[in-house]
Amino acid sequence: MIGTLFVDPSRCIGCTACVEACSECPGHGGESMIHLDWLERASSVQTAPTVCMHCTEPACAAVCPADAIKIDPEGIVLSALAERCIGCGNCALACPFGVPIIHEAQALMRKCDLCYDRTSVGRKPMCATVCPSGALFYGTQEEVADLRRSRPQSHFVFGGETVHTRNHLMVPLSVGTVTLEPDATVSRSTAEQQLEEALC
Amino acid sequence: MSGYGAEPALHRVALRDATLATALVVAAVWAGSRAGRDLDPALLGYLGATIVATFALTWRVSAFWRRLPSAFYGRALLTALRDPWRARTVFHAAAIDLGTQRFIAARSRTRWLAHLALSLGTLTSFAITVPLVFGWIHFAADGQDHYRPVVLGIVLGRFALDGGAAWLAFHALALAGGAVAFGATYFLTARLRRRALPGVTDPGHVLPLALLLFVALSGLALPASRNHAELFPAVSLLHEAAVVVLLVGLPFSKLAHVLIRPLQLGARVVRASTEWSACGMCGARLAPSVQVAAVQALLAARGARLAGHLQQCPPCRRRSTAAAQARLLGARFHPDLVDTSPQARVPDARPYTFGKVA
Repeated sequence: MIGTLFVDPSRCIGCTACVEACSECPGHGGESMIHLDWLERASSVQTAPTVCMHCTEPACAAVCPADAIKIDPEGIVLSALAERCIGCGNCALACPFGVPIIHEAQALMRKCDLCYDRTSVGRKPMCATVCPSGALFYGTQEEVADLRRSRPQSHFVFGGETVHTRNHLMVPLSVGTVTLEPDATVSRSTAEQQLEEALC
Repeated sequence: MSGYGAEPALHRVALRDATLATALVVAAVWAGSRAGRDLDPALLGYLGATIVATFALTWRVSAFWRRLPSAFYGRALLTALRDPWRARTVFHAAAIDLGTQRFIAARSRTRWLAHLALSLGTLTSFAITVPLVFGWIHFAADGQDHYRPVVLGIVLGRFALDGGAAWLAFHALALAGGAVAFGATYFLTARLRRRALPGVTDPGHVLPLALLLFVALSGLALPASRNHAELFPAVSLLHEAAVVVLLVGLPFSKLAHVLIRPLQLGARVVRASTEWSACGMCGARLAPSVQVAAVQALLAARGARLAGHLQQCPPCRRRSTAAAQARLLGARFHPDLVDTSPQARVPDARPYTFGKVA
């Protein structure tokens, strides 16, 4: 049985160990599927890792014109099938978490598949194996409850839509649902964008 | 594995299309073979399998291309083909994507070479054998050392048996078979090398490749065994059986991806659009406006209401999720920019602490 990944961006120290380890996963062909973003590059060193949350009803698969995104019986949303994917980018547009990576020249989408080749045989995903701060923790709800004062949450409200996910985000104990309103989130100024592009 | 296939209602329309296409093929065979007089009795098994495959392939293509997400790109492709200027984009994309298959070269050079050999070999084989099976082409002997090609009942010239044209006519299929054998061997070997990974050696992936390899090798064995009276009938029967299984199973195997690939031309047409949407958060280029609208409509058709978030670029979406968690924890990275209104925070949120270990 495949476990669950618990994501706690507040613990991320930006070491990029997850990014490097992800690229070492045998099924990823040397490419990392993890996004590591700065939250507010101009005023904070805080970073956040983003992995696929493996939605129970994935929007990426629903809008795929080639039916290239398949879902494992355990709810793992797999990377696009190489022989089918046409690299249109519908999945990247539909994913509310901003996960899919589109290689336009290759006409191919790739994304975090929870290290399916490892987790399907009882091993941990590469990112959780190396994360030194526990920002990415792989295990069971009981295990994470014993370790943290926060609680895992898998219901996200995007405007009028509630998205249920297989992976969890760690939130304060009092929080029932994570609400993401487009206008209430952190926005970036042009100067911040330019600074970030220069630093990247 | 599950996915989002065609809806049941589409299959009814697809059945109509498949019936029509099959009827057209049967009529074309009847007319092209001069009411069956030019049909080769040795090839009737192939003919039956081809007609069955026509029905199944048309049914699959029609149902698949009518799915809402696929229909968007299908329509974009057809609309572009009607506009001479935009049709150039389509033909250019077709030459690059379907002709040279450059996108596969971007994935891997050796894979591209193997895929090119496999696909061109297969298409060449079909281009040679289908007219023969349908009775549209046959060769009539003209004396001891010449042949006359007869196309749709019309004699088109003659060529000497020891000339270049004869060599090409009699060896083109063998060359195509060699290319298919090379490609199928490469992909089979690649899968076997990665057999430790889950799903890589699933029958659905391996069997079609193994079947293609068997068809190619048994096809190459046909001319090699023609001087062995005891061997040739067995090889011929095995080859025919393998081709029949390949043709009938084609629409339901992984090889059916060849029917999906032309949608990529529709995607190229959409990407060539000049009107692009910008991210509502950072202003970065997001996607062609028509594609953003289409994805919104597709999600809305499934009851999903993600409209506001679809206007953000993926990096801003990722930051939004992390920022939402930070806000719940009481973090303020940039007081002027973070929404600190009471409704944006939970009443009893704890102060934000980095890397706290319980």
